[in-house]
Amino acid sequence: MAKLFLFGIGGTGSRVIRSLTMLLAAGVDLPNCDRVVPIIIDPDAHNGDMNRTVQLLQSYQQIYKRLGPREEGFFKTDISTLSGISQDVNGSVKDTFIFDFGGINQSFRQYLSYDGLSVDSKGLVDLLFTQDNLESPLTIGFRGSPNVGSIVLNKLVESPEMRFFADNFQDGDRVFFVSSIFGGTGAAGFPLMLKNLKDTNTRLSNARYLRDAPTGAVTVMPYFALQSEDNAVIDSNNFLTKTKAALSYYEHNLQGLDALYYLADTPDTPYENQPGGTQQKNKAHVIELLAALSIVDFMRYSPAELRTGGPHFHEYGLQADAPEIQFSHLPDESREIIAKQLTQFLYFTRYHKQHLPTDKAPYADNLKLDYAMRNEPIFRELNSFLHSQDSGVDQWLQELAQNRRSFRPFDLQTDDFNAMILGKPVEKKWNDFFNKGLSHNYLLDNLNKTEKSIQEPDNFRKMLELFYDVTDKAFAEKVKVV
Amino acid sequence: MKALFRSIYEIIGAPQPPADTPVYRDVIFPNIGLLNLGISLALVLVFYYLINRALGVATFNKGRHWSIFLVLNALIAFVVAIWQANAQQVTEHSYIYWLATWNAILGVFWFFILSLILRKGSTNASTTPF
Repeated sequence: MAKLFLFGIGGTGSRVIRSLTMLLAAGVDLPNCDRVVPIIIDPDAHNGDMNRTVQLLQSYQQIYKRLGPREEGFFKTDISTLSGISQDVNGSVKDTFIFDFGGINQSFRQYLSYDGLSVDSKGLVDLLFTQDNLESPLTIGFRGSPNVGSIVLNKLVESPEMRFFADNFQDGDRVFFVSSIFGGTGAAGFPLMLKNLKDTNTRLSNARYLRDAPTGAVTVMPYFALQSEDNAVIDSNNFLTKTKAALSYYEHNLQGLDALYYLADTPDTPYENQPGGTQQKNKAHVIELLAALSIVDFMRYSPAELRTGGPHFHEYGLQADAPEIQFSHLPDESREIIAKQLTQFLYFTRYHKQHLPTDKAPYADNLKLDYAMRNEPIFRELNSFLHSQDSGVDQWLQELAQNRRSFRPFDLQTDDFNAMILGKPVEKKWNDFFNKGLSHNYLLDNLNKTEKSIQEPDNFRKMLELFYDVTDKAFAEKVKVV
Repeated sequence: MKALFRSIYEIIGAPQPPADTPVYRDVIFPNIGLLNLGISLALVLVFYYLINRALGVATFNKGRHWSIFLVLNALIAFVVAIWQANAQQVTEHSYIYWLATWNAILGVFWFFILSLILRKGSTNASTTPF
């Protein structure tokens, strides 16, 4: 059972994992793997981006547990916590998607035991770190300072989580890192993690498997700016300088990678300047979606392909430099991976919100939806996954559409299924009175028809299978191609 | 057949005036009985199999839509009874209207029974009326 260990480092790591979770929920295929194990590495325990990603992952996990493995469908890929992949006999690894830093409730100065250092060591520390670095509380992360991150994160390899990860690493498993290069946590964490995993003298178990494992990474270069404020801890004007410095380090010091993906964009509207904490909750951005696609792309390569002529470096280009990206602006390969799946998922999400609660139809009666949606926890979990104001699919699509550059393949304001794909309305035949395209009637008729042919005793599994089949047919018959 | 319809239609009492009883028993009762059954079956087929299956109309399957057909069936049954009585030139009597009303009630009954029997074959109304 091949696993993908996905290290999401820093705020960007969390946001990319959020996008990947959405893609997997939509049924995007992740080949060469049976299970994804996201491990979010962020010392900022209250980070808004991280917490809503964790909430989403937990919700996905609940839904997948009920659905089980399937050849195709929504939520078809297993997502598990690190402790979920095997029994932890010591109980030292918590059942969570977050790497446990054990609450670093101190400043960097205290973390270094600065006051107890020799004069020479103090001198060296003063040379490498500013006073602001030293006084910085580690509870909100490294605030864009990779020099601080590289010290703290170097301890990761000695943690119970890393030992548990190595103990359970098997032949055929893969590793992928998601990080930004212009911040603090990601820029410091990625090369450190890679170095420690691929170290020939590592004390971790299964060292040979770890060394030989197909390993990929996406490094996100600047794609947003922050509002300039007096006394702001992070100054986004330094992003490019920090990126250049990190790239020059990466050029000679990244050993053991099979594929490295680079992504960047020209920043437009600056984000609110929040160095960390609950307030750091940035709108989903198309770059994060593309970074999630890089994970899918990495998984599509066989181990032999990855090892031949590697490491493989990838960059990404749109078909056109459009401020609002629709499906037609994506390269063919990306469009083939996500367009149909996202469209099906949008149809399901919209139908779930607009019609499901009020549908009085045989499929709804036979699934006992009226009762189930009000009383069964798994139906409420799905409702939360799709429509939560904070982390739901609706919100994610809204954020992607509102951000700059925006990813706006859908008209999210319309109730008309025929007009939901921007730039590709479903054609209605003027001379055919009964052909109203993708009408409520069309979907309802197919739901009633298809429901009869699905032999599945569990009403939740049956509902998800039913909607996948119907939206699949709707896409094939009415949309055809985007 | 005649005995069956006679027993059904004479539940409300013997035909009036008594002189026309043979016409009612031999012609009118079998006619309106068979027409009532046939029309009820036709309307059930139209609702469950034509509209809610063959035409793929999925939004005309609620209880209120079914009720429209039920009431329509009753009205047709009422009119058919009067038409048959007039066609056989029986004596004008309030009994005709009682018979028509009873025929309408029977129409409702047939429509309901046939709905229960045939609804499962429908795509979009297999759970209508309940």
